[in-house]
Amino acid sequence: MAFKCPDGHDSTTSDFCSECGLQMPAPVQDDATQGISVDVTSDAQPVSRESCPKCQTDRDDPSTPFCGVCGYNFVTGQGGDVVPQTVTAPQPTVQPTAATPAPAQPAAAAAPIEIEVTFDESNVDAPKGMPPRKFSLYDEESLIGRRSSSMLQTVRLEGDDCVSRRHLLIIRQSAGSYVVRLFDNTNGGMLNGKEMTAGVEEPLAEGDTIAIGAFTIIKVNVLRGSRR
Amino acid sequence: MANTFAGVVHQNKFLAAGAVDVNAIVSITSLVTPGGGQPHGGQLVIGFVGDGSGSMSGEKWRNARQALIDSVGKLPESCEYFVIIGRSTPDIIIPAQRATQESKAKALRVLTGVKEDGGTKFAQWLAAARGEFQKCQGDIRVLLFLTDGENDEGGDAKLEAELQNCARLFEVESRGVGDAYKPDQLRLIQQALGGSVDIIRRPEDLSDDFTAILDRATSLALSDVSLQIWTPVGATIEMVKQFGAEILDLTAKVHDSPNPRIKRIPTGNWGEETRDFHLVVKLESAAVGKVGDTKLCARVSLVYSDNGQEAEVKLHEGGQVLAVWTDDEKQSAVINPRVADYTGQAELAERIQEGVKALEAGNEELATRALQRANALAEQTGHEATQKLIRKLADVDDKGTLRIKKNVDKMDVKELDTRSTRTVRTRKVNG
Repeated sequence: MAFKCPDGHDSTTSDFCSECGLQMPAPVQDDATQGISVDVTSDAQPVSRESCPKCQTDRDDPSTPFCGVCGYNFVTGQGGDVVPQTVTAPQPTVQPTAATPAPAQPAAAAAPIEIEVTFDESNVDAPKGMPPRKFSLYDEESLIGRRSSSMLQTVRLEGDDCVSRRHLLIIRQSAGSYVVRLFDNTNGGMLNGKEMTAGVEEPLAEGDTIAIGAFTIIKVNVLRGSRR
Repeated sequence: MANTFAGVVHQNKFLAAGAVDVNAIVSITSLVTPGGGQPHGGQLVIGFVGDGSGSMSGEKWRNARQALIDSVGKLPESCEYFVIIGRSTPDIIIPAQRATQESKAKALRVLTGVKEDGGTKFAQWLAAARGEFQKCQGDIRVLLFLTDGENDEGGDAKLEAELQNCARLFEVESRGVGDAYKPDQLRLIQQALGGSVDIIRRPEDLSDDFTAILDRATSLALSDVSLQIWTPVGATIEMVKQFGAEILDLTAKVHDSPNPRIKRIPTGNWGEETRDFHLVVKLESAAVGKVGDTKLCARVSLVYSDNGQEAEVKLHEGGQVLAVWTDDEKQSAVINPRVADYTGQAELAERIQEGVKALEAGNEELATRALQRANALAEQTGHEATQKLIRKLADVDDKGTLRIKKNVDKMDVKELDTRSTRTVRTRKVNG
């Protein structure tokens, strides 16, 4: 029941001392506990071995209930019926995390990709006179969808009820190279006027327009090449 | 309904030799699973306090009354509710009762005849609401609090005293309409009781906003959820800030539990949502480890009452916040990107409030400096909406230099002030 910690406290727990918090000596051949402390980068992001039953991708972020690739809900077991047809190899995280230190410096780095969202005002249901909204996307993957209290999209769209909560994913494949993927069970989308197929990754170029929902138009304003 | 929680800790566990502050972001997602038998924490009680003081006259009052009428009409029959009109003394026009068809029909007749006059007495209004909540059975309790003016009880002392009486009994969704209320006073209520604050610029939007509040309230599934934090001997919880829809400093709410190693922090009602908590644990020098030591500095879990039984939810990897002391500066100098981001967001809120106060006091130089910094922070943390609000008050050139505009709309200032604590979810960062 009681464990002795290196500093001599009686501990009720075997991993860390329940008094002083000091790590307890590893019991022989306990690979599981060793596994936790191997990361040498900044973040104690746990290694998840769970993979999505729908698209077989490793679950990347256990803090959200959804599969980052197909949107399968790990908690309810619903959704996520798209299997990506051009599976991107999981990107090794070699970005120099140390390069972004304190919040003190003003953000000068321009976003690698910038999109602009407008409404097609020729549609009678579209709100009129809305100024275009610009979004800078910095992430490897940006989820675009209708704002809802239950989901945390990167770009949260409003005003068009025919936009799904998970509608599109814009994925960076390498610097300056982006693809867009439509989720299934969404209300469809057109890339440069051509119907998109759910699950298929299509390359994006500067000036491309994606029409989704009833009247929402997403234009790729800026797509920067390799960073200078 | 039932809740499922998932949580994960983000931190750089590496500290420089001798360092005493341990920072972490604890990110907790709650999912409401529909069905699943009995409602979890009992049912909803929703209270309304509508400012009925003289200043509400005209369009504001007409719309506020209509919004109350619309809201009462939409209440689910299973919930309990009450309506108080705030005047020099609070007028409990509909005492706490279940929202049956007959009750609602009667309430609508009463509301149609209600008139506005009198003063603005927040403490008395809240005391009346507290009395009504205490008559109710449901334990998910939300108060919708609408005002257009400044509390005139001679300072905030009475309000602060009443807020202590109300603590943990209910949450407050505060709304300011017009440009004469004081965002600071609404934040005082939020700081003590939780919930949100917002501005409603146009009285005609009141009804829609009330509907949104009702939607959120009816989706709540658990009341009085607390963070439970174990810390080792010689450690204190230096700071806990909640980044939900808005920033809420919970540091003052840390309280003891029967186990001296364990503290608890009430976080109120939960629906389907994600909240991130910025936790700072400070170690006494005696508790600091040697270079090479690994120490557990906090273990975070959630506790709530499940039909009278206390339930604890453990987080991923045991919700461990670790410290590893190292001589390698390359490891210890890295600030975890999420920690950096939320630190920036917290400063953003402070700079905005500082800038707005300076602006109202006529100190343009200080206002310019504070808002310029705020604008840069907003850019950096992805606060596009906030940047837009700043740019209503000031012109910003390409280099980020800011100049306050000549004729600033008072309503724009209120909006920026009221929304200064809005949170933007941290961008997904590597690691």
